[in-house]
Amino acid sequence: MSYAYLFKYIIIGDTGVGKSCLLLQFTDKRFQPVHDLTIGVEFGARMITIEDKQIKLQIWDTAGQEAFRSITRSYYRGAAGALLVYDITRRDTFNHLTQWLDDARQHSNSNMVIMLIGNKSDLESRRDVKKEEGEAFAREHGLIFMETSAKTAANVEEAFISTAKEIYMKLQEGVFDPNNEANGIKLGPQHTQGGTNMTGSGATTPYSSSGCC
Amino acid sequence: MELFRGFRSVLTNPAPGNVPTGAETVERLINRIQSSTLLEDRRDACRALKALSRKYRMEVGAQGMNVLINVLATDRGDAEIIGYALDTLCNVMSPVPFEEEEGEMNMPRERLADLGERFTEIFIKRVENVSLLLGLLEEFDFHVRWPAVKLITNLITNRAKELQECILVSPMGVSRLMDLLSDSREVIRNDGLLLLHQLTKGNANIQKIVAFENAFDRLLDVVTEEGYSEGGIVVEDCLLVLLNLLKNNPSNQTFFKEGSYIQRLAPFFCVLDTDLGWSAQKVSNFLLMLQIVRTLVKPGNASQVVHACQSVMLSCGLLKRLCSVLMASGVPADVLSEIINAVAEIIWGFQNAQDFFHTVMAPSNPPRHSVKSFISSSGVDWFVREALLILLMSMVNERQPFQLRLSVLYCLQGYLTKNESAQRNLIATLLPSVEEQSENKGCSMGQLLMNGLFSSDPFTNWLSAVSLCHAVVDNNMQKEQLIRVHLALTPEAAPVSLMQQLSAIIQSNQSAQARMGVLMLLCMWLSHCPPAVSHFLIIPNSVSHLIAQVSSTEGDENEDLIQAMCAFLLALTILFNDNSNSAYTQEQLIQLIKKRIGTEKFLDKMTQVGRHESYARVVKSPIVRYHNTSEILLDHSFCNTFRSLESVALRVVGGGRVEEILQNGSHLKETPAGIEAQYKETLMHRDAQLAQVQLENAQLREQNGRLQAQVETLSGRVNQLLSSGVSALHISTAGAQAEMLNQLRNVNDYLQEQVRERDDHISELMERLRNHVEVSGHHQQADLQEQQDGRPSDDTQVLQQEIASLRQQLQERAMEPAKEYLEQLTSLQEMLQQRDATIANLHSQQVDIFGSQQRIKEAEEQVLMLQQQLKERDDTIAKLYSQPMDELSSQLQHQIKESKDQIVMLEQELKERDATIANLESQGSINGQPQMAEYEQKIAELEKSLQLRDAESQHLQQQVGDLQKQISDQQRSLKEKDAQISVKENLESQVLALQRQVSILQMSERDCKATLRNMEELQQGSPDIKSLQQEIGGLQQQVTVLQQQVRDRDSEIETSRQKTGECEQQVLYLRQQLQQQDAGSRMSSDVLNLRNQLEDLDEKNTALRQQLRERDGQIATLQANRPKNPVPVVPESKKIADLVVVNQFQEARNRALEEQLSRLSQDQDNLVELMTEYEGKLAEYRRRLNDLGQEVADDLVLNCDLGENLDDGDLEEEEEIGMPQTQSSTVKTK
Repeated sequence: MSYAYLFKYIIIGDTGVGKSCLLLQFTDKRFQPVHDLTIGVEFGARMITIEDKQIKLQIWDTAGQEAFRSITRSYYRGAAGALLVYDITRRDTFNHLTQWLDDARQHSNSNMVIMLIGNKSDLESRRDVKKEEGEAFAREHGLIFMETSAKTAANVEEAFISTAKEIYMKLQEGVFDPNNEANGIKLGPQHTQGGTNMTGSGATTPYSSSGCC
Repeated sequence: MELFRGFRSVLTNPAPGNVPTGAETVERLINRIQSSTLLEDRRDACRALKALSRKYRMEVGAQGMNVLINVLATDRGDAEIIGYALDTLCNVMSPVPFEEEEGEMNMPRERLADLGERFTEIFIKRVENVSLLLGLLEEFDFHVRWPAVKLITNLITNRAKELQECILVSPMGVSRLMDLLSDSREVIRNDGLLLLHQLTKGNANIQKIVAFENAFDRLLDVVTEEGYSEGGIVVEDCLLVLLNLLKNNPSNQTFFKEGSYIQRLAPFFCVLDTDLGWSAQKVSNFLLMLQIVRTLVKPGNASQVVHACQSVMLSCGLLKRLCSVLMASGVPADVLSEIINAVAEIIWGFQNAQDFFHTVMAPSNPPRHSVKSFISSSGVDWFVREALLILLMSMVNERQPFQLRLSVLYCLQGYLTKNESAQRNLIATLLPSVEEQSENKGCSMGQLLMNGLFSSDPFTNWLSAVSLCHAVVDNNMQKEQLIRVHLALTPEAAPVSLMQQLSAIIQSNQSAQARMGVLMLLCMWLSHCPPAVSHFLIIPNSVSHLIAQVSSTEGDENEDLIQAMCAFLLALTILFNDNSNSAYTQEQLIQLIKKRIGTEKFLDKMTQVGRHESYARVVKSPIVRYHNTSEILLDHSFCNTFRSLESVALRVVGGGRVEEILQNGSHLKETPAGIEAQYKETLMHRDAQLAQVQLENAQLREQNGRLQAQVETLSGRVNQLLSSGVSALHISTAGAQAEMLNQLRNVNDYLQEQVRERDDHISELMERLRNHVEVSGHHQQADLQEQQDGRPSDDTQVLQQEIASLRQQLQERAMEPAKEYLEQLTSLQEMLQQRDATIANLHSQQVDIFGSQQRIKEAEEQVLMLQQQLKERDDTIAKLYSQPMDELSSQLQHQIKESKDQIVMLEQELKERDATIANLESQGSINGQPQMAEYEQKIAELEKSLQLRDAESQHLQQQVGDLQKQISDQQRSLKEKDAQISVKENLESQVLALQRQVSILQMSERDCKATLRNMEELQQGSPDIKSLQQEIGGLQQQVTVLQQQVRDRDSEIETSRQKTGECEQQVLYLRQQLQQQDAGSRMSSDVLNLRNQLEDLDEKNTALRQQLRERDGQIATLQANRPKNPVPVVPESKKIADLVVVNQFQEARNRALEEQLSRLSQDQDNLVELMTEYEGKLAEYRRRLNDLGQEVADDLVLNCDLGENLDDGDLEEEEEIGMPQTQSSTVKTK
């Protein structure tokens, strides 16, 4: 499947806030109620469309546990977008946001788009963090904010897509250089000029051009 | 460090001849680096140290490491000195010793080898050192970057794990290393690849980060730039890193697939069909690339990842390219077999790829492929183009390398796995109809396999047999089709069935390998296929050969395996036996094994299969690397079958019930479609159940709600009733009476209150009277004084005296009736209280009477029961007595009659004799003496006989006497019985007396009631006080009388109770006697016999029950052993069970509620009844109250009368009592 751009995302936040569930809901459209601890980093991908352009999202779901923190830091640099997730039913996860944000800002490129997500909005009865608090935090730190539910899929799609829109906007504005892969953005196969795709011309591959195909 | 210090102390000793030793030089140089302030000096010293670092590695490392690290940290501005320092460190930590390296004399080479490792250990002890190195990678200068890369590579090589952790901890570490791949300087890029190869070994986290850092893109870019397989060692390095990243890392595999990198692999397999040959490098590149492909589609991976990769490989043309390489000429055999393996795994169980593979053709120009030589050597000049056929030909060609032949088998397995149509097509080529149509006879797949099966080469036999296994595995239809296959080995011989041929092979073939192949084929064929089993059993000697094999004990390891296989095959003939062959039914075969081999030994033999080393090797993976053909004995798919059936077979032969076990065990191993259908069915069933239960639940809930509502309304009504006046209602009659008592007490209270009111009224009246009297007295005085004023004083004194006396009289007169009145009233009150007490007493007595009545009733009942029992007993006794007595008496009478008859007869004879004697005497007197003597003799004889007869008759009479005595005895006992009966009658009469007493009691009760009524009447009509007093006195007397009566009655009841107790005891005694008699009369031999029979039957019964229990136990164990139920069903059934439990609970609750309801409604009824009763009573009481009110009014009237009586003598005062105010005014006017 061809695409115009590829964006790399990372999902960060405390353990058990529903990072993997958000990813699973976005890529597979299903919800897994059992908490399966993520070891290191897991990978997921999905194609979306923004302004009639096919964009491939490559999402790296990190482990929230402290033990994996040093590993997950390695993923900050190469990501164009980050979903910073907290659990609206657990205040401590909200309190740790500053720590996460500092970490992300320190290790990522400065243009990385960060989306703040208050997950588990379906558990309204157990809410511990008000929506206004999330909004205030996002405003203060220049983040986009949304409350989602990986269980009911509410706002999940929107969260991923609006992040992508923000990145796409920055791309159009020239803030991002699509040719620098360290930004977490890659041009699709039809945009690349180096002959790295395998389907078309054999100009750069002298051995494949002659014969067996 | 201790060690090194030791070395230094040795080395620093000045050597003879003033020539500085290497160690001294090193020390001097290090000092210079440390102390010199000039950069040039330090740089030179570093350069010199680098030069010495190979030869004097230990000295440089031991003394200089810290200094050098310091240089790296401080002199970063000068690339040259950094370069030297890095180079020096690189040498110090080299994983391999240098040629020129000089150790201590006694230092072995191995110690030198791990010197680098030890220095590495020291170096990475401080994580900052690693970070420092990673930081240096950012320096673009070649002199820094290159040695830094090499140094890190050395570090990783020596201490991979620790360094991986260090790099993970530094956030930018991996990305800096990844940047090396983009370095324009090839040396750095290539060394960076080596570094990555080491770094990515066995650490999934690093592998993932590397992949995240676009490693796939960069590596494939390098591969492409280098020209794919022709690209030399750099491509190999890239592929090694790729392989590291993908091996055992599902996340990266998904990423690889998602990132469309598989498509980028496809061009790699463009190979020119030329004779240029394959360089060693190209071969290893190609093999690595094939390994990468296989890593993605390895059958052990997660199935959805495998499937996704398979479909991409098919759609992007990778499979097609691989197949064209497969058909190309000049491909080295090891590459070829690896390609076949890769193709096998790409098409494995994936229908679209299998279909594609089926259509692959060799290029139309005859290829100089190795297969062709086989074709020409077989003497037939066919031109075969189907890739599958060409591969099969290679497989059955014993001149092909065995690795390649195994690969073809693997490929065939991949082609046939989950591909029923392919299996059908293969088997169809063996069946007669197709064979006739086929043009190129002898070159169908089936034909090739048949040739292989009966060839002289054991490995070819094995391969062909296993190929056929794959053609029938999980496909019962093809197993049945295969039974139809007949073939003739020589043109002359008649065709024999394939199975017969196979049976012949296992009996005659010398090679263990060939027999193993055929045994596996037979096992796979017979499993889950009863027709095949029955076909096998009718082959002569088939079973006996297996039995012989299993029972034999000698043989090498391979023979052991064969015997074990025979045992398994035999077990399968039992397991899947439909009992159609009467000679070999399941039961008979089990018995045969028991007799000829012994169950234990048989089972032990069978399990040998799973214990064989070859099994352990094969069971893990469908493809195994072998070193030579002789190792090859078992096949992976057979191992799966064995594993699934072993336990079932063990149980069947071990003595379980075949049907059950099969039902429990084998249905799970049927075709997946079957299982699915079963699951679906059970699921649907469960769904239906669930729905029904839910419905029931809802209904019950509704009912529950309704009932609850009813209960609520009822309880509300009950409460209402309770609160509507009648407080504390009781249901039992005793309670009701108590209630009545209460009621009466209330009424009494009310009456008392009224009486008190009346008293008040009276006292008021008295007060008024007194006042009046005083007032009037004063008036009279005043009048008198007035009169005195007009009269002489002596008169007045007399008058005054008169007046005083009059006043006193008046006062006395006025006081007297009032006092009397009060006294009367108090006495009345007392009487009333007494009356209340007596009423209460009577009530309690009444209650007691009720209780005693109850008890009497119970006693009556008991008595009745006893009477009944007595009657029954009497009947039985009468029966018992009448039967034997009648018989006995009749017998005795009969005997008596007989003996009497005999006596009569004898007397008659006597008379006759006498007559004859008389006759004879008369004759004898005539005839003479001799005759007389004769006659006399005769007479004597006769007399003797007569005496005998007499004795006999006496004896008989004695007997008769005895009998009579017996009869009299019996009669006596009968009399005794009669006496007992009369006792019983006595009891009856006692009972009657009791009843009479009871009636008396009832009567007395009636009397009680009457008195009560009287009392009530008393309450009602309260005429004047005297009559009341009289009545009260009478009542009290009556009460005492009644109490006496009650007491008497109680004592009577007590005595009657005692009597009944006695009666009961008597009855008990009688009962015992009767039982004894019963026991005596019943103990006949018949009864004993019957009892014995019964006991026998009981014994049998218990035995049967024991067996049943054993069966149950077996079933339970079987059920426990049975594989788990389908996963989705369990929660459902649990849910259902839960619901059922809930339902039961609901039902129980409903029942309870209904009970409550009925109870409540009963209560309600009772209450209503009571209410009406009480309302009646209330009405009555009200009536009585009215009466009392009337009384009170009367009393008032009476009072008035009294007042009148008082004023009889003084008219004025009388008037004043009537209307005092007007009276006073009239007095004034006077």
